[in-house]
Amino acid sequence: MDILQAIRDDGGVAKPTHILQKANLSHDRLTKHLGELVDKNLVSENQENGNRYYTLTENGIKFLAELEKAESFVAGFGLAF
Amino acid sequence: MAYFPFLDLTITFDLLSGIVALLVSYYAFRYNRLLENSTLKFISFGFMLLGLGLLAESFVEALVIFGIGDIFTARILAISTSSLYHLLQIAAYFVFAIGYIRGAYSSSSSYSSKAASESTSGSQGAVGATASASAVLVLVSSSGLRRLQQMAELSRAVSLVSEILTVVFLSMVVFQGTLIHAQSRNRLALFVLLSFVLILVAHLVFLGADAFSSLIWSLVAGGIQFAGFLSLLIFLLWRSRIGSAGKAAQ
Repeated sequence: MDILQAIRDDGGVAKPTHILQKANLSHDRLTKHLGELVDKNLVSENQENGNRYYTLTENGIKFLAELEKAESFVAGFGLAF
Repeated sequence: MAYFPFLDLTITFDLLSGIVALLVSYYAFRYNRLLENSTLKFISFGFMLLGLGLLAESFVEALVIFGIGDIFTARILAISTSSLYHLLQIAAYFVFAIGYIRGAYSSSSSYSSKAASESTSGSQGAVGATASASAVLVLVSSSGLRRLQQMAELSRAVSLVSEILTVVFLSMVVFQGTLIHAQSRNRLALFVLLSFVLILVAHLVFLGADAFSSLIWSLVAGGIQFAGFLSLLIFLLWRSRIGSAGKAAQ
């Protein structure tokens, strides 16, 4: 969820370094999670001028919205996310 | 309206409360599939029991006051459904109490995919209560005025015991909910806590109404309970805005 939020907060497209800082993850874990998100078609990987970018897909936007709703529902019942 | 002029209002309260309870159950079920959280399973199961009980009771009471079908059979059905509802209610609040205690005392995050096996302990109370309910339903097969009177007496006893147990379980939920809210200070949680407090007050009034056979106080209790479910509905509606608007509303 932190990774998806980090990409969204950057306008839907983010460099790995930005995601790394915002999601507060190690490089290895970030690479692993980004790979999973790409496989699930929640995030797409693009190359531009030798730089890698990650973009939220339509599925990713919907999934993040659903996660945030779930988080608010759980918080409403006094549970930690 | 042969029995009580405000009975249709009671039915409306029960019907709307039941719909809200089923809505909460649906969302808890849906988010449990996403998050695999054991407490969400308790919430979903508990609200499903409550919702079904409320809908069943309002449906059968409607049959009675609108005189649909044989009046004698309808009364037997109403008494048995009322007992069934009270037993489902005990089961539901027992499930909430267990869920809240687990939520309050479980270490850090409550989210665990292993939770499925653990949720069975909470279900045992529900199974026990519904088993008792089926024993009440056995009486439906018998007929006769005397049997009807016995059923009415049994139903009143079930109702009284049910209210006492419900008040105990709800007090546990409210106590745990207050502790949890004191730590999280979440505004959304305040609506849920408020709804449980209102439902607890409603059941205290129901208890008094049952003890003194007061229909007016029973109606007042129904109204307070409905206000509790209304608070849950506001929580659901407010929460649904959050997905698109980020966490601004919290």
